Amino acid sequence: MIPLDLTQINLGKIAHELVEHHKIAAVVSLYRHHTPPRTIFPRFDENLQQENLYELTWFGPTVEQQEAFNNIIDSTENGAEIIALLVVQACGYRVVKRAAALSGSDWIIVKNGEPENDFWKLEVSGIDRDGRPHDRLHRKLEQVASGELSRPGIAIVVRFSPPEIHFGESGK
Amino acid sequence: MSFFDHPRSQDSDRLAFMAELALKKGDRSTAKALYAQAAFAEEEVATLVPHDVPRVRSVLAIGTVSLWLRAEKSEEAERAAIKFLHVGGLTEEGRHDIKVLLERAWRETEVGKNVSDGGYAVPLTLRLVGGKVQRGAAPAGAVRTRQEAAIGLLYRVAERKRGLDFRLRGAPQINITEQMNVYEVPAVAASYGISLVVAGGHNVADPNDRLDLRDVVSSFLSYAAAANRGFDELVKVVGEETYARRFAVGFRNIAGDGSDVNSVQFFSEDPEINEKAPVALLDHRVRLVLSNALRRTGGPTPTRIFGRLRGVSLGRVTRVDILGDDGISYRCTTRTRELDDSLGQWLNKRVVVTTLPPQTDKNGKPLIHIVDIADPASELPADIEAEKPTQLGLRRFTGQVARSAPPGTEQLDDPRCHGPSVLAQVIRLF
Repeated sequence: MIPLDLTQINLGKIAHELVEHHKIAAVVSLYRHHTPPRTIFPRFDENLQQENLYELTWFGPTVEQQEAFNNIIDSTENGAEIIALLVVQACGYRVVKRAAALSGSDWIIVKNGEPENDFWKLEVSGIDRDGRPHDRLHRKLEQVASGELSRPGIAIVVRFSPPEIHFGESGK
Repeated sequence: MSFFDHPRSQDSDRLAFMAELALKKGDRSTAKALYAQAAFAEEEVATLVPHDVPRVRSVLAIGTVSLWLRAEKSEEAERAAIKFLHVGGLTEEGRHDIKVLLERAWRETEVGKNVSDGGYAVPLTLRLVGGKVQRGAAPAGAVRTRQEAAIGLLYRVAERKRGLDFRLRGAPQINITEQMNVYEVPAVAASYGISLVVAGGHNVADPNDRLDLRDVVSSFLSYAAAANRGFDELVKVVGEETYARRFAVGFRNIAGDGSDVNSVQFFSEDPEINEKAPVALLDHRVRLVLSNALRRTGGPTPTRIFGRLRGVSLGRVTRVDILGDDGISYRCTTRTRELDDSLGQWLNKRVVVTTLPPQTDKNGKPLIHIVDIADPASELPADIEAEKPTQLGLRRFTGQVARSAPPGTEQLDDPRCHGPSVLAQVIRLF
């Protein structure tokens, strides 16, 4: 079981405003389906093989936070993004920057110990409930592969209910 | 030294994020100001990165130019792009991407000159990927047919958004064309891009009654994403079946064909749209799925004619002439007097025509009603038909070419059908 902690996020120098915003989006999205303080997210690879279990620690949102993040599409996407960043961090990557639009990715990440010049791309997608996370992952992997930065990439799909994380790599 | 961790790089990310939040709240002027500050900060760091870290330098240079464009400062974007291209230290791909952005800055400046006061222009790109498509080069026919289809669909989306009745034929009404013009701009992209700009017209009678062009492009992208999920989903999103059918035809004709073009991605570089609309990808599978749905007749099993489209007659009744691969000329008509927007592009090209079983009119003349006309690439290849119908999500064509069918016609296996031999006898017209 790999711990992920939404209550104490340390994503290096990523803008504090963004981290706080996405963290609240995540807890509002979680709160729609689960009870704090812990939710277990199994992680699946591209072939739907279960690889790991993540134990996500989080806190319940305030009423004001729920009202402010009542747009399900936005809160799901932003919430998925912060959880995905914690996942790649747990996998040994450093999150360094948001990617420019249309690069085929959302974030730029660097493997710990490797030079910045050998960065990876990260593409994230969120699903509030049900849906087809496995199909979504494949679409996201295609997006990573066809984006404008010719670098290897990771795609992560976070589904809040039932909780699942789908993880794939695209080598370029 | 870490350039991604440089305080000014972090400033840039923070400011760009704040700009996005402002944009979501509809505060465009604040968003533009914040994007400009973010671009300034990003440029400072990009300039510091030495040439021996070319990927990082490229990422930050591309980020700089993108942010200037988001701030709607085309001239700053142009200046920064030229500076980075001149100084160098970029990857080959980075240079290409900056040239793409530079082209965009130039064309936005040009299109801006043609937009009436208070108007704006919204970019839309169809990126062709795979097949015979190379970087900056693609088969001319594959580009032209897709570009025509996309422009036709944009006007259809505008009509739908305006709540107009479905137009059976002819050009869009003047109250649409005077408010919306579609410009073609230089095609540049990582693979091959069809770049369009939807801009406001000059002569808007009532400025309060302007078409929301962002809504038109955003809806176009949403319909494309729905088309990816199949015809039924498209009907759900469009909310009206006749329009949905036309959009299905258009997106089917744009989708990957499995030979010249593998897939087509749709996106807009407009930040407001880009934040909301998904990047839609239409590949050959989508073409086959939509074709299959378009050929459902809800009754008699359709018949197919393979041949060349030789003529379209726009009289009281729309007539379409096909020279079949079997050497027989077929004259067909449309069911609803509707003329497909995309029909012109198939003239003198090889097509597959799906028709209802032939009938005769009150004078005893043969009538063949067209259900669908498409590129032969919209046909299921035999191997897929045999092996992967379920995987493709298709209703399986159960029939084989009937033994009695003349070359060029294919009969689907259904006892209600008149049979291809009847078809061949009835419709020898010329």
